Amino acid sequence: MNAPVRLAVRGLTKRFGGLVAVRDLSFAIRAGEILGLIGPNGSGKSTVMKLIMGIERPNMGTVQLDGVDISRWPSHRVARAGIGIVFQRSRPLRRQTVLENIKLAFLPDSLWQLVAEPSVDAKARCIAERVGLGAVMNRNPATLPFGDLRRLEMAKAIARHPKVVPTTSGSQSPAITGNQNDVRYSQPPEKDKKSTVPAKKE
Amino acid sequence: MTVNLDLIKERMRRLLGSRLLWVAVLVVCIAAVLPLWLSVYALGVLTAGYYFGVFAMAWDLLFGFAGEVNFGPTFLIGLGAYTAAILNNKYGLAIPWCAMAGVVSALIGGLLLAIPSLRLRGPYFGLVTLVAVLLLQNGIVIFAGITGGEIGMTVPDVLSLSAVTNYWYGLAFLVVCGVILFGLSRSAVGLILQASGQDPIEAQALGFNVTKHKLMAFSISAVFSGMAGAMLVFYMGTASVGTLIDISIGVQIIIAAVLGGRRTILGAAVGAVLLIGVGEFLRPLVQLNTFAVSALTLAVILFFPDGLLGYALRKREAK
Repeated sequence: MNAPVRLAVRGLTKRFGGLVAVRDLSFAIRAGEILGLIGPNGSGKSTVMKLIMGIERPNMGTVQLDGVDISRWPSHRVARAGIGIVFQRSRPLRRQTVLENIKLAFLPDSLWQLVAEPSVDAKARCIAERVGLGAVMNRNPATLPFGDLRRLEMAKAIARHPKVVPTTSGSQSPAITGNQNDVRYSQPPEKDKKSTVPAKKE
Repeated sequence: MTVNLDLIKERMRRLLGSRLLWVAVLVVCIAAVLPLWLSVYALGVLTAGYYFGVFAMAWDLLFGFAGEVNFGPTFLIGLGAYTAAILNNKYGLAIPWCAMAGVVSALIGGLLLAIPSLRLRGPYFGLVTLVAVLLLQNGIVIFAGITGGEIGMTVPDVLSLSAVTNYWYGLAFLVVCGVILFGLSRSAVGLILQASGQDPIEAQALGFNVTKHKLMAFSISAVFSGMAGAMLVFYMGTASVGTLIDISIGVQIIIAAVLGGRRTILGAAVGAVLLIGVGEFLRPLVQLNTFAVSALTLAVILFFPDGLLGYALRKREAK
C-alpha cells in the first residue's frame, strides 16, 4: 500500500512575463497511483506537464524523480531518467511505417549506433500487437485514423519503459491507465508499477 | 546469434528486393559507360554535375533530415576549396593532403558557426549561414594577397588532364559519397535525425539530444561539402569566388536538392546533374537560361513539392 514516492513536485511556479501559469504547486505520486489535474482551458495543466518533462524551466520549485531533482535537466535527460510524456497531438514520422515509429523509441541516444539492436524489432512488434496496432504496423501513419495515432503515441511511451507517464490528453485512453503493466517482452516485466499523471481536459 | 543471422538475411533480402537499389545500380552502370560515346565537352559538364551532386546531397542531409535550412552551403564548400587551393598554390602540398586539410577547415569553420547558432530556436541558423557566406566572400576579396581575390587562384596540380579520367574521379566520388550519405540517412541515426527535424520537442521527450544529433548532421554535411569543394578545385584547376562561393551557387545547390526531392539524398544528386546539364543545354539562351531554369524549378516546387525522385517514390508507395 505504501509504495515509495516516485514523483514529488514541490512549490512549482512558472511565470510567463506577468502571467503566473503555475503557482506554488506541490504533489506526490507513488508507484501505481494515477493523479488527474483538472481545470478549465488555460489553467496551466499542460504547463505543469512541460515543467515536469523539462520542456519549460520552472521559476521556482523542484521536481524529484525517485528522490533526484530533475527540474533543471534538459528534456532528453529527463526522458532517459524515466518520464515518458504522451503528447496530445501526435506527429509521427511520415515516411516511416508504424513499426519503424515504434522502433524509434527504443533507439539509444547515440551518434554511432547505425543499426538498431536485433531485439528491438521483436519488442516493437510485441508492443504494436499489444496496443492494437498489429494489423496496421506496416502502414504509413498518415493513413491511420486518429484513434490509431493515439495508440501509436501510447506504444512509443510503453517502449521507453517509463516510471512516470504524464499525458496531456483526454487521457481516458485505456492503455495508459490499465494495460500498461501487462506489456511483456521476452524478459519479465519490472516489479514496480508505473505512475501516471493524466492532465484531464476539463 | 541465430536471430542475428536471420535479421541480417532479412535485411539483405529487403535490400536486394528494393527497386531503388537496382535503379541506382543501373544508372551508375550507364554513367560508367558514357565515356565511350560522349564528347569531351559533355563529359566535362557531367563531371562538374557530379561534384554538384555531392554538394546537394550533403545539403539534403541537413535540410531533409535534420530540418535545418543551410542557406550557405557554399560557405562550407568555399572553406574546403580555398584551404586546399592555398595549400597547393603557396606550399605545394600534394592533392590528398590539401583535400584533407580542406575537409578539416570546412569542419572547424562549420562547427564554429553551428555550435552557437543551432542552440537558438527558429530561423536563426539559416540566417547565420547566409551571413557566413557573405563574410567568407568578402574575406577572400579583402585578403587578395593570399587568396587571389576576385580574380581567383590557379592550382599547379590537377587531378588529371584527361577528361575521361576526370570523369571517373567525379563519378567514383559521387558514388562513394552517395552510398555513405544514403546509408546514413536510412540508419538508426538517420531515423533519430528525421525525428529531430520534424518535431524537436517530441524527439527530446523520446530521450534524444536533438542539438547533438543536428550538430553531427551539420558536421557530416561540412565534411562532404569541404571534400567536394577541394576536389572541384583540383578538377577545374582554379578556385574563384564566382564559381564556388557566390550566393547564386548556393541557391543552385538548394534548387538542385529541392528539384530532385528533399529527404531522398539520391534525388539531390539527380537534381544537381540535371540542373547542370539543363543549364549547359540552354546556354545559347544566355539571360533566358537562368529564367527558364528558375521557372522550371518553381513549377516543380508548386506541383511536385516532393521533387522528382520524391514524387516517383511516393507514387510507388501509394500503389
